[in-house]
Amino acid sequence: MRSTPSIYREQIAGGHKTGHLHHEEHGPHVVPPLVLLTVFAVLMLLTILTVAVTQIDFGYQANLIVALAIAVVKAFLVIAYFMHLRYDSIFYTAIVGICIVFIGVFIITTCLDSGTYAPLLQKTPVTPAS
Amino acid sequence: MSDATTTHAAGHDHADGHGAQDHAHHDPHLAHHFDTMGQQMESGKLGMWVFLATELLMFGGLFCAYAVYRANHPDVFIYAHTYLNMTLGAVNTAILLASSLTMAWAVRCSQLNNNRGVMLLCLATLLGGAGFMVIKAIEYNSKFEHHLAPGIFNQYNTGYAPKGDAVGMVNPQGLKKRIDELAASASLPAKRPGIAATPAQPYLFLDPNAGSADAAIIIPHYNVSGDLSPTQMIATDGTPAVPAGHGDAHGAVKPAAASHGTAPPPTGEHATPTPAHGTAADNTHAAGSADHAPGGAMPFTDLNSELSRQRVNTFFGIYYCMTGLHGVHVLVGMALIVWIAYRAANSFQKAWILPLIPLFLGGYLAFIYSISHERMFLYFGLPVLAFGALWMVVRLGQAMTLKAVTDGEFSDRYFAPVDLVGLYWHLVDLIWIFLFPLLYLIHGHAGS
Repeated sequence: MRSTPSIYREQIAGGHKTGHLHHEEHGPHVVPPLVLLTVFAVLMLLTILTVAVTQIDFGYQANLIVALAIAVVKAFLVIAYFMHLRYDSIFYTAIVGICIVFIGVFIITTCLDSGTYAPLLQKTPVTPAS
Repeated sequence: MSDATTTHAAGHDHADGHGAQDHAHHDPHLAHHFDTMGQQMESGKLGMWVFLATELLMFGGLFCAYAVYRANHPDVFIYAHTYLNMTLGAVNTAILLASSLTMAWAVRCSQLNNNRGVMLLCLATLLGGAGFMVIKAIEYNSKFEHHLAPGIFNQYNTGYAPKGDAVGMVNPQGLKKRIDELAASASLPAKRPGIAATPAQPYLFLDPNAGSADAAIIIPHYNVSGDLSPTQMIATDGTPAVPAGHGDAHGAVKPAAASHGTAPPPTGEHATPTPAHGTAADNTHAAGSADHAPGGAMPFTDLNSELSRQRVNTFFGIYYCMTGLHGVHVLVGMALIVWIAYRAANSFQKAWILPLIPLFLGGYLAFIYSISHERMFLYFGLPVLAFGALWMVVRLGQAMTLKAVTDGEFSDRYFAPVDLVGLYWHLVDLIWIFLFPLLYLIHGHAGS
C-alpha cells in the first residue's frame, strides 16, 4: 500500500485518459533503501578503482579507455538507479540514448576530421606575429 | 484557488464518477490542462528529460574540444594535468556521489509522505554541494597562485599580463634596467622558431604573504625571474643557481605554493631529458606530497618545444570551461534544493531555511577571501553574511510565536518537484563522473 504512490494507483483507475505516456500495472516503485545503498557502495568502490588503476601504466590511450570504461559503468548506475530510469518508461531512456548517440557522432567525426590534418600542422611551427 | 475551481468544472464535464477521480480534480497542485496527477507527473518528467538532454549536448561540445585537443597533444596533457591535485578531485567525487545518494533518498521520502525526511536529506545534499564548492575554491585558488588563471593571466599564455601587481610602487627606470639585466644575464635567444622575438611583457610580482622586499621580477615564458636586489638573481633552466632561501623559480614566486598540495611541475625553459631535470621533478613532488606521481614517473621531459609550452595555456582554458560550467550547475542545483527543502519544511522550519542562502553565500565569499586574500570577496561576503545572520535571527524570533504548525506540501500524490530537482542534481554528479578521470587521471607515456 505504501510502496506504490497513490498517484499511480489513481492513474490506473483513470488510465484511459492519460494517453500514451502511462505506466503499466504497478508503476515505478519507490527505490528500496538497500538498492540505494548498494549502488552508492559500488560507485565509491569504482571511484577508488579508477584512482588505483591510474598507478598502472597501460599507455596513454589504454589508460584513457580503462578510465572511460569505469566512468561509463558509474554513469549507468547513476542513471539507472539514482535517476530511476530503469523503473520509468522506456520513452525517457530513448531520449537519453539518442542524445548520447549524437554526442558520440559529434565527437568522433570531429576527431576524425582533426586527426586528418593535425599531423600536417605539427610539422610546421606556427609563428605568431612579432 | 482558481486552478482548483477550473479543474473541478472539468471533472463535471468528464463525469467519471469514481471517488479517486474526483479527489484528483480537487488537488490544488493539479494544473487545469491535465486530467490526472499521474499525467501531470509524466509530462513534467518528459520535459525535464528533454532539458537534461540539451544539458548533455552542451557539455558534449566541451568534451569534444577536450577530445580533439587531447588526441593531438598528448605531451601537453600529461604535463599539464600534474598541476591538478588528484586527491582533492577524488574527495570531490566522493562528496558528489554521497550527495546524490541523499538526494535519491529525499525523492524516496517524498513518495512516502515523509516531508521531514525530504527536508533533512535536502539539507544533507546541500552540505555536499557546499563541500564540493569549498574544495573547488581551494583548487582554483591554488591555480591562481601558480599563475595558471584563465586567459592572459596564465603564465603559459604568450600575452601574459598578470593583474594587480603593483608595478607603480617601484621606480620605472630602475625596473626597466633590472629587467634588461635579467634578460641579458639569462642570454635570451634573439629569435626562436615559434615565438615572438621579444619576450612577453615582464612584470613585477609582489608576494602578499611576505614583505614587499620579496618582490620578484619575472619574465614570463622564458622563466627568468629575479628579485629587485641585483645580487639576488634567479635564472632557472632546471638547474638552480639560486640564493639561499629560494627553492626554485616557483619558490621565489610563491613560497606558500607547496602548502596547498599542488605540486608544480618544473617549468624549465629547456626541458630536455637530463638527470638534472629529473631531480627537479623529484624535489617538487616531494614538496607537494599530495600529488600522486612517484618521482620520475611523469615524463615531464616530453614537453620540449616552445609550442607545447604555449599549449599548456589551452589545457587550462579547457579545464576552466569544463569545471567552471559544472560549478555553475552545482550552484544552480543547490539553489533548487533550497527551494525543495523550503517547500518540504513545516511552517516552523520554513522560517530558518531561506536565510541559509545568504549565510552560505556570504560564508563562501569570506572563505574565498581567507584563502586568496582578495579584499573584494570580503567586501561582498561580509555584508551578505551579516544580512543572512540578521535575517536568521528575525525569522527565528518570528517562528517562536507560531501557533499552528502546518506540514510540508509533498506527498505520494505530489512529489514531482523533488523528483525533477533530484534528476538535475544527478546530472551534475554524472558530468563530474566523467570530468574527474578525464582531467585528473591522465597517465601514461606519450607516443606509447
